[in-house]
Amino acid sequence: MKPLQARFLKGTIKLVILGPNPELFINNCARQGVIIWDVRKLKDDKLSACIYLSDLHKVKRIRKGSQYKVGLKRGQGLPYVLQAISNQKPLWLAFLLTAFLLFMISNIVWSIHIEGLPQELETKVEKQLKQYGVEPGAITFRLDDTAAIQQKLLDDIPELLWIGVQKKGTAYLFEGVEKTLVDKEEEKSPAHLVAAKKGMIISMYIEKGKPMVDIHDFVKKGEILASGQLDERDTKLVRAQGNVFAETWYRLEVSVPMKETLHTTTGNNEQRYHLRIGSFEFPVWGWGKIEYSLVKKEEDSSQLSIFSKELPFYWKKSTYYEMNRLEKNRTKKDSIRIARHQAKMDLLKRLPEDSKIVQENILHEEVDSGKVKLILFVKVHENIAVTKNVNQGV
Amino acid sequence: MKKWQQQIRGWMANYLELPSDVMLDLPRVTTIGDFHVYIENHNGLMHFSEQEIRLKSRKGIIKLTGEGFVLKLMLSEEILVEGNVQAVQFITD
Repeated sequence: MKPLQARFLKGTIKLVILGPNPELFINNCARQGVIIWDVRKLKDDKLSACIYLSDLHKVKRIRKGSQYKVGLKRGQGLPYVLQAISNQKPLWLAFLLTAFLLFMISNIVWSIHIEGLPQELETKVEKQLKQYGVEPGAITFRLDDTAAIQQKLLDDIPELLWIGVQKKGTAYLFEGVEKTLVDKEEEKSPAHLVAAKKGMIISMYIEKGKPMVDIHDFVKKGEILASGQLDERDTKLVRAQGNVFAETWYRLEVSVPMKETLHTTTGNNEQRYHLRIGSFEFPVWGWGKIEYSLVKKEEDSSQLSIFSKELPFYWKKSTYYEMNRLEKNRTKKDSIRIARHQAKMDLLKRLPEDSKIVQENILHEEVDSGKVKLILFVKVHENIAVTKNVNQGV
Repeated sequence: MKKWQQQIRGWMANYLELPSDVMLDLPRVTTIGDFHVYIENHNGLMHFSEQEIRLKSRKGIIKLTGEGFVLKLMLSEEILVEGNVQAVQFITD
């Protein structure tokens, strides 16, 4: 039965032949090379037979110019199945869309894990990664490969000794080792304590080393306060340690505008909601332009999650507050008070933590083009001791 | 002339042991039990019904009688009949 192989693939169709002596018709067909099977006599003038779909045109040609009527019944086989499928356009569209969506979703970075690093460095790595575009919501095929990310991280963050980059499906796994920057050798090397700036010593406590100065001594910058050489005959030096508090003096210049601008909220606000995927923001709720003349914007992003699994989508709420600008003229007295406060705060920021302002005098004050200018003289008690390594034997 | 040719063919079929259906252009009828009849080298279907099939051949008509005939396969010179076959007759004209 070789002629009847692959019937399903080629597709078959059932014919009903109507006319006197229908045997003659299939005889003709067979002579033209049409393969016929399952021929049944239904009535005296009616036959049913099956043929291949590809032979249909031959049958049609034979029918033409004959007195037979040929009815076509529903066919079977792959060509019909394909046709039926191609008729289901929405189904196809849905199928393609699903495939595309699946592809996109599986190509999105869903999570980033950083391990083995202290919090501070982890944040730094995270920030750097964000700059490369590696963050939840990013599309993977637009990112560099792991080796390139690793190299870039090592180049850009000097504190990293090594970082392993691994891509596990939709997650990135970073395993870092921190570089210990402090040189242990240096901690033990001999050193003197020297003055960081000029001043008058008011109290000192030397833990290690030989004190070279006394209370109420006036020291200049760079002067040795405590020596690492305990005895003059000693060749081996120690590392001097200790605190030396001295009175230091500063001359501060500060200027403060007498006009003060204050921004206050009026209480009116509007919200906008966005769904953020990667760098793309999709507005969800809240339309139209913000019509406040002076606006303060507050943004609040939160990552969406399902079953405690974080998704690469962010819910962003922006609140716009209407602002009022208030201009106020300060009195000279107020301005001076503010200027003095500001000057002291600026100074203390620059000094070691346990510093204290003990005295302050206004040397000069003037009002010039709406500004108050002050020159202050400030006395401070601060630790002026700094360690200075000694190169031994050189 | 044609008769002479026929004689040569018959002689060749005999002495060269070639299958006679090929040499003599005669139909070859194969039956499997009583339900399949396979006829090769026929010259066309004359009549077909559930009880009777008549086929043309070089030497007259081949007539099958029986019940529930279905043509399982039909090619230009081959035919496979399925059904309850009761008789195969050769009618020479």
